[in-house]
Amino acid sequence: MNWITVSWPMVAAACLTLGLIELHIGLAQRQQRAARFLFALSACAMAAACGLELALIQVDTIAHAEVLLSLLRVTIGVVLAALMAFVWSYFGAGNRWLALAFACLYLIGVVGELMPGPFNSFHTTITGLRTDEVFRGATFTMLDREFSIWYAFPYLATLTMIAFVADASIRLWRRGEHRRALLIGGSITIFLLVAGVQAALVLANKINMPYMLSWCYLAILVAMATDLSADALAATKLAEQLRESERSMDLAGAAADLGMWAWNISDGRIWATARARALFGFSAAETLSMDNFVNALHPDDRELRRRTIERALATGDDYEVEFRVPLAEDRTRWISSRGRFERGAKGELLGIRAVVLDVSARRGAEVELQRLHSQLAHASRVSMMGQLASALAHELSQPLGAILRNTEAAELFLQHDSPDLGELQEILADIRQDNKRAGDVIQRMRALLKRRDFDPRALSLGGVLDNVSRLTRNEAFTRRTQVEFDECIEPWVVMGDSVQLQQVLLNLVINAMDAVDDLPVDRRKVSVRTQHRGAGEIEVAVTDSGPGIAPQSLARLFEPFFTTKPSGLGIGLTISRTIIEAHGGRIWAESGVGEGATVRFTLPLADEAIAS
Amino acid sequence: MNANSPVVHVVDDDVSYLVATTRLLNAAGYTVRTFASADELLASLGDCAGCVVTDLRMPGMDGLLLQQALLGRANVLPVIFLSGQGDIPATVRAMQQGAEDFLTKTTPKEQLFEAIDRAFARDAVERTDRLRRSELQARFGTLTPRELGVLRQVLEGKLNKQIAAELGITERTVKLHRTAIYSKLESRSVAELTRLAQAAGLIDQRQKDFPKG
Repeated sequence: MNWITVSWPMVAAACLTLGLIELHIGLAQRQQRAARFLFALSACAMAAACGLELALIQVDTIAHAEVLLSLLRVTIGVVLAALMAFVWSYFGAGNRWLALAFACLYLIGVVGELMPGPFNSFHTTITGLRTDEVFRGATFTMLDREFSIWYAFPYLATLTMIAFVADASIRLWRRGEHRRALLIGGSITIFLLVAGVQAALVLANKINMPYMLSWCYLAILVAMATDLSADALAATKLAEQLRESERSMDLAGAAADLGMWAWNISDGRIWATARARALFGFSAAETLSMDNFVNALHPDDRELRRRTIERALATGDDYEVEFRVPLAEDRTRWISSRGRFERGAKGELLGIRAVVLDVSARRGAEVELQRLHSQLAHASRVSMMGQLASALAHELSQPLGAILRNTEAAELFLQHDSPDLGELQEILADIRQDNKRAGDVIQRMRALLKRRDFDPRALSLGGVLDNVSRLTRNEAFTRRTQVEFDECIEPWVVMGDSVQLQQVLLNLVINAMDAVDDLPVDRRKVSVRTQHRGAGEIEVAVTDSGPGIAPQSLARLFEPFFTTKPSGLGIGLTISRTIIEAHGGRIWAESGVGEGATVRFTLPLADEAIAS
Repeated sequence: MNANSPVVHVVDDDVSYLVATTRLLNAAGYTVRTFASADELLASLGDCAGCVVTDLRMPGMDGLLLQQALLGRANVLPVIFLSGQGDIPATVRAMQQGAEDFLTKTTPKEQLFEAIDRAFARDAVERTDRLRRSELQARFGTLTPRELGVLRQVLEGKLNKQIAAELGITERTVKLHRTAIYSKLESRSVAELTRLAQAAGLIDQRQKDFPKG
């Protein structure tokens, strides 16, 4: 045991250690993975070369020495090639011609030496071994050799490699990465120079020492370790900054009541801020996946969210969706979520990043507004009922009158000696039918008065027109106005709430009657027409023969509380519009001064499937 | 159908009520004709005696318009209105236009029968009046234009002398005309002439008073 047998394995161990560290980093991290692997390869190969050097120091036969030398040549080749590829990859710069020249020159050198005798007259031969040479108090073996031309090639290759590294370092320097260019480029250049010169001197027997290529490699190890530790320090600093900014983000998020979450597609995990977790009702420790998120949603809203995200995925835009999260005690929280897709360099989806906001208060206000609307609609219906009460009374008096007449007739029949029983039976059947008619009238009145939520169903437009025609007949009579309803020939079916649609139509017809009130009786005309407009739409138009609407009023007609009538509330058309829009239609007014006004609205026709 | 027996013409767009009313009136012994609309009645109305029982509110021509239309006909049948419920403006208009009565559809049958009977009686009276008037008008129709002119002056209470001066004829000629008038109208005094002219609708009450002043 001497210092040589101790120190060479130490160098090998150092190479191996750093190689393994780089390998580990390369496996764990996507960034610069190739460079890490290449450096690990170079370091491990150098560890092997180190072992070969040690074996060569202690070799005792020429045959062994020849084998070891060949192996060393190949191993060093691997070290250099891997190192060059590392520089190319790590620096992101390199001259391909120099690289190619290096590879060719080195290969020529190695292959030339390995070629068997008959084809290779320039074979290097070991002529003798000089053991017991003493270097710094330790003995080692020196080789006596005759040189061949092939020996020059690895040196030439090393020169091209120095040029390559220098070139790459300069390019890196120009890109502003001074530290790395100087440290790594410099260390590799030093390694190449020192190792090359030392090997050449040993080869030429100019100095009395063994090959120490692996020792020269230590320069690179030091440089790489420095680089690595600098990276590690920077990473720590970054992590600290990250925590800092995360805290700021949390603060900002808390101040704005925003929660944030991010979904990483590769591991399926979801990272979420404390606020986001609180919004969805997750505990701080819970590990989250997309399933957790979806399950936290109100079942009715999951499909909407899925569709929104799919649509956004197709267009590549950010998505925005509102959904409910059920809480305890039947309460729900409304959450607005805005998300963005994270994509990799090739456009592949990496995950989703989103902010979530509690919008329950706003939603609550909307619901309240809707409730007020519904109340207002109810109020206007009730006021309209005042106008229409007599119409309903008239309608009721028809069946009631008929019942009375039939009863009276029956009484008279029964006073006869032989009453006609067939006739009496007919009378009773008629009474029953009129009774039902009266019941229907009451039912209709009740439906009109009842306050309900929007309840769309397939219904015949003709039926709606018919009802309104009947309800307005009385009003038309009293006001001596001619109201014409289109015979609704086509069996058009729309999706909607019949009471609400009747309300709209009633409102429009009564407005139209108001408009013609000041005209002479023979010119008071109101008409209700329907027409198919294509694209699955039906249009209903209420036209009057009145003075028309002034342009400045026309624009404001549907505004709440805008009215042209002395006693008007200005809510009728506003409510009509709310109702029509809820049905997926549009409503507008047309008028030229002096030529009467027309209010039109459209309704989408129900699908054929629903209609049947 | 006997042309002399009065007929109740019932007009209502509500078939059920029409049928029920017809049953009742038939059972009570009335002769009834039914019409689903005012137009239908006007189209087939002959010289039939009786009355009209009509719904006030109907699509197309309503009860009030029907009443107006009837007033323009030779056969002015009295009209009884039936409406859903009391409607003061419509009632006032109907009564101003000479309606016999204005009932609701749920009026007890007795009231309806009474109204119909009253209408029949009125129709009978008016029918006789109309008959007499048309006879008188026929008699007046036989007068020559000159005789008619003289008659007018006579009815205004003018003396023969005044009439002669007015018309530019001799007093004797005026006397001849007066004689012809008396014989054609089968009357003997100015007072009777005045009554006949009134009955024929040639002069009204005010015109009679006017010359006295």
